[in-house]
Amino acid sequence: MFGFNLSALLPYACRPLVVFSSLALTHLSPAAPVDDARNALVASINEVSTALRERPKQDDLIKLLDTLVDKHFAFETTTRLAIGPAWRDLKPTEQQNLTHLFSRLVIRTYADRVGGDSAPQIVYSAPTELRPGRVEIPTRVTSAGQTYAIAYRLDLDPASNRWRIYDVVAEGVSLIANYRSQFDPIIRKSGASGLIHTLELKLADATAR
Amino acid sequence: MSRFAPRLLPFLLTLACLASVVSLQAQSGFYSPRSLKEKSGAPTVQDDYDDYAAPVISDPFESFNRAVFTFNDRAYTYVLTPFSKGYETIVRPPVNRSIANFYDNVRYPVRLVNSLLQGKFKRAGLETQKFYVNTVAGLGGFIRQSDTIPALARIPREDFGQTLGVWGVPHGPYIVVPILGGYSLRDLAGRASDTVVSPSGWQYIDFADHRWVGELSWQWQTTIAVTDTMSTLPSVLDLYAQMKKAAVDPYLSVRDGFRRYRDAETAK
Repeated sequence: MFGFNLSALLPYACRPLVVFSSLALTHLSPAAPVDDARNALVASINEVSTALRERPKQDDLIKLLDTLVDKHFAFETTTRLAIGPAWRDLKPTEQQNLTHLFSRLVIRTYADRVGGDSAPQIVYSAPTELRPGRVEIPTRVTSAGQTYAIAYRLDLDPASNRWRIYDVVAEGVSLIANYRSQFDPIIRKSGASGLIHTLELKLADATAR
Repeated sequence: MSRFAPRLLPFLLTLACLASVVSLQAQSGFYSPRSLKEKSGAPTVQDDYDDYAAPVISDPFESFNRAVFTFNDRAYTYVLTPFSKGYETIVRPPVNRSIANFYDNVRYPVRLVNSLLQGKFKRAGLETQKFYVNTVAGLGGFIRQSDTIPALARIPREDFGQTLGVWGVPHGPYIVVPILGGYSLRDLAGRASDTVVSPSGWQYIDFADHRWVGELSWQWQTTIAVTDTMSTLPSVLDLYAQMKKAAVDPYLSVRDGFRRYRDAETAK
């Protein structure tokens, strides 16, 4: 039923299917920044899906996602939280290396998933503040007749004053939490170098295929 | 959900206030429960790691579970995926979706009973309406007509594993079952109990012959089991393949993901 044809969607490219829930934002602490977060999320998702509608080739797609991800995602925060308190004891070079490898892995995984024919329909709900400068925005994504609950968590970057996505929670499963459960034993056993090695192997494996 | 929003608002507001007060205090260092646990309580450290502390999953049989997980992985990759692809050439996906809708509709008693057991009477009523709409207007349940009615489109599904969770029964150990995959003991017990309530497990009477049939014949049971499983298998296999591709350790990824998914379902 929702298997949209791409061409049918073009008229809506600038006018995304956005429906806001009735929960008024103004009741939740400083209204303006939180509102900005939702606008930022809508803009990010629109920019990515507009770019994907061009149907780039796999290599170009990864390059394109690289640029978009740098712009819209706070991958340093994502990586730091996925690694946990052990992050504090890492050298800056290790932190950078891990952030780079982890973002590559997530981008590759994501690149494989997108590019289907059907553009998903997204319903955005009102943001909730997780802590100062952090919000969660629940959405309902309908694709190929199935509806999924996907919540985005955004972080206000103090330097650029921009909201960027740092976590995605699909049906209660957080991306950060899921990787943290996998990283914890590796770090405990073989430290940051072990994790770097594991990520390099995984990436080589993903690139080979 | 949106209909409840106004009533939930005071509660959410209180929660938001409490959360912001606590986090502000924690940041300014007046009161910080986390600092007690820390080795070096540097006040400038952004301590949000606790937001993602892993749930404690009891896994006393991990080495055995990992062996079954590897077996399942081979079975999914080399047997079930090709079988599922072959099945799709005979039973096309739209037909398969209708079959999935049918079985989902037939399992209404499971959702009804568990809604009632959890004291969610309004949800039980909505489930009943949904069953009537889909059975009558959806040609016996093959078409999910209820999706066009907003109130009936997204009723969280209840099962006995969730009921046990609501009653406060802990998850117990994690168990990877051959082919079926990973469950907590609680969810496995719940799944077993639900098959009793499900119509395919009922006792039947043949009204034409005035004869007690008891359980369905093995031919029927097999047909039901195969068509039922095959109607949802492609999406399950697809999800597994995605998780495996993204994971550094697929066993831990699935174990964590399954627990969080079930906990989110139970909380709904």
